[in-house]
Amino acid sequence: MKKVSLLVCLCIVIAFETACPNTPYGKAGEAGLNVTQALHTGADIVDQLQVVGAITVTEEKETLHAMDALNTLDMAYGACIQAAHVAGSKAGAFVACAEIFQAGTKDSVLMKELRVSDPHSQAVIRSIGQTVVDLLANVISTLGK
Amino acid sequence: MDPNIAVQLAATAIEALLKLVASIKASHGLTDDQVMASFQTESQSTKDTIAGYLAKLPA
Repeated sequence: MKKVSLLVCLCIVIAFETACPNTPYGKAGEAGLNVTQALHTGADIVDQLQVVGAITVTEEKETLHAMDALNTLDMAYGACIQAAHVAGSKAGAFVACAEIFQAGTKDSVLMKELRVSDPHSQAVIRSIGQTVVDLLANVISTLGK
Repeated sequence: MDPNIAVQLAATAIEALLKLVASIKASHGLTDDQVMASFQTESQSTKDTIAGYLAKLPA
């Protein structure tokens, strides 16, 4: 399962690197799109983990609530970059939106408190959270150049 | 873990991975406004999907 998690992260990074638009607005938007797609896929995986009995119903509920909170943060990030675009802001404003989002993820239970009893499932859930962190770090690094 | 469950989980993860990579690739070549429109649509879809999974779970 660890190999699968590593493969997931590697392929996401490769796909992200080969599909970036050029403007700060486009790059910032693409990062937000990628994050919500990762969370959508993650929700599908978490539900399947519960269906096959790897995690409990309570664990699925806690994980999905944490993912929903991250998706809500992502939607707020989308509103932030939209506002920056309308205001004609430079790249720094888009970086600021991503940094606010990134700060929010550090308080996320998905990253620090959420625990499930099955270690394989824990690794999968952790890789979903790490994908969100990596996507944000990537866009901040790219826009900050 | 039961080997059969491990195999099923791996298959599920790979299927989800392929779906995700295809989604990310699909955004290649879009204009910025198209990317933002996809972002808004997908984030609402993600919210609805999560709500759907939560709704089917026993209280």
